[in-house]
Amino acid sequence: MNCQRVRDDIKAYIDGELSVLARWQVARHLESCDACRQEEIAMTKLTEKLSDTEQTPAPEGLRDRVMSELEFEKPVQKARSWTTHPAVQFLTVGAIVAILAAIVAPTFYSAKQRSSVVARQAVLRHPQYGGIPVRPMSPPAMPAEAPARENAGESYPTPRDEQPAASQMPLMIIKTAEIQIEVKRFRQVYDEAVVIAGSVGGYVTDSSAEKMGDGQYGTVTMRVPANSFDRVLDRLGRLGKIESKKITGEDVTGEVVDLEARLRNKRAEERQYLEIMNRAKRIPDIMAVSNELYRVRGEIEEAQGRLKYLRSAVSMSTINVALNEKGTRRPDEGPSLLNTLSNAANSLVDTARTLARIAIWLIVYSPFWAIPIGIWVVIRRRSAAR
Amino acid sequence: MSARTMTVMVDCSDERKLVRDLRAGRREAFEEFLDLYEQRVYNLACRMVSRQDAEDVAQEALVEICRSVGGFRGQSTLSTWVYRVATNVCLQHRRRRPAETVPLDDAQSDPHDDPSEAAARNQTAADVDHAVRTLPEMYRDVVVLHEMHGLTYSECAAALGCPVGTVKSRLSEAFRKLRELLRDYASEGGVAL
Repeated sequence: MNCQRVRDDIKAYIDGELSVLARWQVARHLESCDACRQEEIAMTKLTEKLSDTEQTPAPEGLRDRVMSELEFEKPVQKARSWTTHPAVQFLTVGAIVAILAAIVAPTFYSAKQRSSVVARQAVLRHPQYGGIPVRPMSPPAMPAEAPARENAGESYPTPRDEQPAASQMPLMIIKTAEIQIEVKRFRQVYDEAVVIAGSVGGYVTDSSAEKMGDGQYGTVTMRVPANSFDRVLDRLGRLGKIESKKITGEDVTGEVVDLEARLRNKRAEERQYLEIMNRAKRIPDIMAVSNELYRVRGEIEEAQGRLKYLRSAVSMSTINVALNEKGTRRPDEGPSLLNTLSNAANSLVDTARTLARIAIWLIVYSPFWAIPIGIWVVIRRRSAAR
Repeated sequence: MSARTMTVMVDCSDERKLVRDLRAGRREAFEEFLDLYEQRVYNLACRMVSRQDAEDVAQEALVEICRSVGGFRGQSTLSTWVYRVATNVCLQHRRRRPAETVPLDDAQSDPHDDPSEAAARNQTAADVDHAVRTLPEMYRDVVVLHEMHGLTYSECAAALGCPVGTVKSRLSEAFRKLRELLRDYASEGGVAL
């Protein structure tokens, strides 16, 4: 730290208004710089002089004049803030009820949703597909807890070294494709799509199949190495007649560069704190630095996790394949008028059943929402009476 | 009374009771409030505006605080809120009046002071007081609030309506200027700091 920067901070250092790191940096500089130490001594003396300044007693008559302008025994209305407005409170309660309903509502499946879930599970469990690994996308790594400091004499463990950031960043694109294919034989093409994924070192993450009229409709979601992306799309396209194809690329190069820069800075910050920790002697200083180390280590783990996720997403592209057996009406195609009437009527019945179930759940859970509302009403009445 | 003893530690529950009683309009509560804050607000006004106007500004500030106690939501201490309102009244008064240079007599003699006591007073303290009053307003305000009234940086920032970083840099600069001013006094025969 140079003298000019330290002198800008000396006053805040004397007043105890610097962060732990800044205070340590200033203290270390003062140990070795006579000029700045003299400045600190002079500032401290001036601070003491100013705080010892004599205060003037208030003049006679000021109190009487103030009291004469005030009115007594007339309650001063407490200013109403926006949070006490009735409309805001009503909306808050309504939002809580809506959230409760949203939490319990998804537990009710329609018959149609249940059948497609059963079909999906059946496909995944089928031994025919056992040769191809079916596993979900790996989530980002959870941040590990920083180890606790055991005793004052022990050095804090140093972080392990990681690969340095590339000086020149190649483009990093997350590729995703959605392709819809009309096929003659659903089951055969379905199997071939799964084999194509496996043949390039990819894997299926999700699949479903359901009966639609006289035919079948199904989807396969696969992850394939990015360098095989175009080849796999080409082979899938030859399985039938392509009805639609959409390819998107998300450029995450900037985010990766930012994350790597942030990681470098956070590691440098951690190294400084470790240095402080090795020199700290007092328990309060050790505790303060420990807290900062936990925070920085948490931020490092978070950035590492996000970086790992992005690199994984870039290296393995995602392809969503929808297979539609010829003659089958796709879910997004409009049904006939009679079917529309039938579906609408069924939907009405399902909705009524769902609402009835929600009402039953709300009644059963009423102690959890009726009591807070009751308390709120009582408080409101008392405030109004006051 | 020195500035250090002006930072009165009021128990939280006492403070809540005082605020409740002030809102209820009880005379005794206003008396108690003035016991705690009258001198502090007056001294703040003495340093932020000219001596001639200090009494009027202090009266205006105290009345404003007492009337607007309904707006105190308890999100800070009562002391912080009082200083915020009082500082605001002083700043408004300054905006209404044109910028004034500090006359020598105004800085060095207190109209309430006995001349014999002024003579006996420590010259260094007078030099320091004069140096503070000759600072530009934005530096003087932070010095008065932080050094003489014991507010923290964040409390000063809340009272002045500026960021904490601005308070820090202004205080640093104010002290640099004060040291230069006092060095001049030292060279004229005063005591160096």
